[in-house]
Amino acid sequence: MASIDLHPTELAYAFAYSKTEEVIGWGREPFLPTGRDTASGAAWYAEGEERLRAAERLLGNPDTGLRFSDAMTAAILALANPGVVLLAQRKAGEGVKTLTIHAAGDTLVGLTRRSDGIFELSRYTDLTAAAGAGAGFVGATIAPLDREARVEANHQVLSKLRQLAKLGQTEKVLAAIAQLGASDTDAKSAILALTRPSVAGVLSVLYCASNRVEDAETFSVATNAHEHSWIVFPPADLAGPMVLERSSVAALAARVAVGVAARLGVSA
Amino acid sequence: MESLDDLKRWDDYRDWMRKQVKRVSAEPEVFYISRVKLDFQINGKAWKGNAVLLGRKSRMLAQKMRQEGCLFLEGTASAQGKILTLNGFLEKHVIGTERLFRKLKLGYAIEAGLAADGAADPLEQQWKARKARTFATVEALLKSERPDLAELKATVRQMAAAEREQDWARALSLLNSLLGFANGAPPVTVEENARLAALSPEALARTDLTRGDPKELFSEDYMEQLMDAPIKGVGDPSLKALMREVEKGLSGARRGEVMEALARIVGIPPTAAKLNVDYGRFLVVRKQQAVNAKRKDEKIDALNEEMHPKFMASRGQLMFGKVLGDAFGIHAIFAALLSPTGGLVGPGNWLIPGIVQAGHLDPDNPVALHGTVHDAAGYLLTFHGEGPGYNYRDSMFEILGTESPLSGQISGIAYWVREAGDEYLLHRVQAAVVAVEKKLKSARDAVAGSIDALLSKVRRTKKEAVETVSEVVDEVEETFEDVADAIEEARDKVERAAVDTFETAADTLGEIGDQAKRKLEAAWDFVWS
Repeated sequence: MASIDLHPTELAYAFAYSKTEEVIGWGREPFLPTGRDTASGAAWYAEGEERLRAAERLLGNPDTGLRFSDAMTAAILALANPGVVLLAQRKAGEGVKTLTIHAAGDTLVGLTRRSDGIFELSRYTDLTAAAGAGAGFVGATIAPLDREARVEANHQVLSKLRQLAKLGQTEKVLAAIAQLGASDTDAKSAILALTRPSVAGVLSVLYCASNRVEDAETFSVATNAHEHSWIVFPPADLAGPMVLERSSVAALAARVAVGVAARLGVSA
Repeated sequence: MESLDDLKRWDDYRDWMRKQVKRVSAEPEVFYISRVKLDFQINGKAWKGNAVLLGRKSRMLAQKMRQEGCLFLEGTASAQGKILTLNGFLEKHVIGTERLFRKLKLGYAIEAGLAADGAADPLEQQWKARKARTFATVEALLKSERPDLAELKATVRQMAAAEREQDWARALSLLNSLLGFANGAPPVTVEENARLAALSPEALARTDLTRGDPKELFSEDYMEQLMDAPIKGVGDPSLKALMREVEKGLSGARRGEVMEALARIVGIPPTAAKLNVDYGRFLVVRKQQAVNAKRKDEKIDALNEEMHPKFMASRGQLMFGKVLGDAFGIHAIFAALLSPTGGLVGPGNWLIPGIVQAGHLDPDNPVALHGTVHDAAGYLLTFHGEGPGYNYRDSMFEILGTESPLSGQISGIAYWVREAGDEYLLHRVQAAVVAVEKKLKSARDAVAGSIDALLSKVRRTKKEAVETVSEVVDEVEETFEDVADAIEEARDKVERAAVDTFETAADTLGEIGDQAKRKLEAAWDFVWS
């Protein structure tokens, strides 16, 4: 699964033609030059065109008309007008590292940005691979689940329990989670993940139309020092139940992929 | 020969063809056949037939004529004596070429070689599928007692003619227009135009003037169809002048004269009379536009023809016009003038305002086309309060994949979704969502099991590969399944990814629904607070 490197000027050039004002998960800033005057803008686009042509992502010649390569066309259209975006945000200190996967038609493209500002663009063969990438990026454990564990509460209760645990009131929280149906071992594992995660992040499934996020399914993911991952998610809306569940990269990928399949109406 | 006009001059075209065809050798070379039949005048008599292009400059010519609105199919031709063998075309196009060569009297026989990939033209398939899907709707329309029944029947007749001529793009376009009749919007008639024109600004602002379902306008099907849509009059200097006149407004006898002149360029059909009715509706739509512009403090940008001398009546502008025209049930030439810069693509006009330059990109390129449709959607929403709506299910089935671990679970998922009923899909009713989430456990377990098995296999294979690289390389190739690969690659990407502040990251979602935003904020709280 090879990635290609794309300079922000290349994406800016393409987005100017597709009239994409913002890319979901990235906004507009990463694609813009630092100077916003007309001269620097024109140079920015000229550089983009030159790079695209050199890499044969832009074909033909300016006199008779240029066209993007098929692969670039599909990627830009998916970035510009996705039906679904998987937004993987991984905690890095107090900051965030981001992977987005934009799905449109049969195209699934992943986008990450390196610290030198260059974007890496990957393609995924199907939704399950894309969901796997998202789950891997947010740090869900690679180890298969050795047992299932799940408790249901609501948003207020789980938020409150996490706050109490962070304040050191572990016994109280253990008792509360046990009351919700978890074993003592699982309760301890969950508290450790939520209060002192070694890796954490949020994997969101964003349902989009006309490049606007219409609805979201979110999974907060926390993995503790014992490589146990826990996810917190509301199956429906925030007013409904909130689930705390043991997970893994495979379990989370499956949850996302099956959820999207159901949502897209596979029965239709 | 340099343009579509040159091609339509029969004697010149015959002389040109005579020279080109003699140069065709036994080696296959590129050969173009027009997608639709063109109007020729042969010794003062009208003849309709396919045109072909061949020879050294044919690629450039095909590209140029495409910009002028005439689309060509590409294949190859080779000659053995006076037999020309065509490869890569459908039978109907080979027959069209045969007819043309007979008319040209070049003395060549045409033979079909290998057919084009696929049994039928994709547009033909699209037409047949859409026709079947909408048959009942059209039939009901024809049985209705509508004031615009005559117009409707005329459209059906034109559609039947387009089908007979195998002009699938036109047939589809007419069907779209017919379906516009079905949504209950005011019919485009003289009487209805007069009634609408008499409405108060407030009442007009509340009236839905769109005819098709906006969701249909922005569908994948529609975009594909737009790419191949034949558009008459592209780049015609007379059309440019007439469009400038229309934009300024017409009255008295001049209105009729302009309609006659327009019909000569973009018709017939449509006739001057039909264009006149469309112009009447254009004025109504423009009135509604003005009301909403004032209310929302928005304005329509005028086209700066000094900066963009080629844009008026260009394919880009008329394609934008076609999208809006399909929405309002009027001809593209009028609809384009509702927002004369609509479809103008060029670097800078969105990300960094003010750098619009002459676009190099082919207006039919899907990326540019997206820009055109984006303009149309933005215009409809801003000035007429009509949008494409939320239709996330449109054309998204492909992402599920057929080779993935998920594919085997699809029927199970489908069962539970069906059990939950339509409400689950349409409104995501809370209780149904929670119930389906639980019912899908077996599907999730099966998928997760498959992924775990793949991951374990990949890791094992990797370990062995270190020891006996040459023996297992092939096996690695075969077993390195995409899902496991994607997971591993994503884990590697983490190391290289840039770190943004949380505030920056939280601000990158652009437009977002309230409930989605609240869910994201709650999820972030569990990790970042």
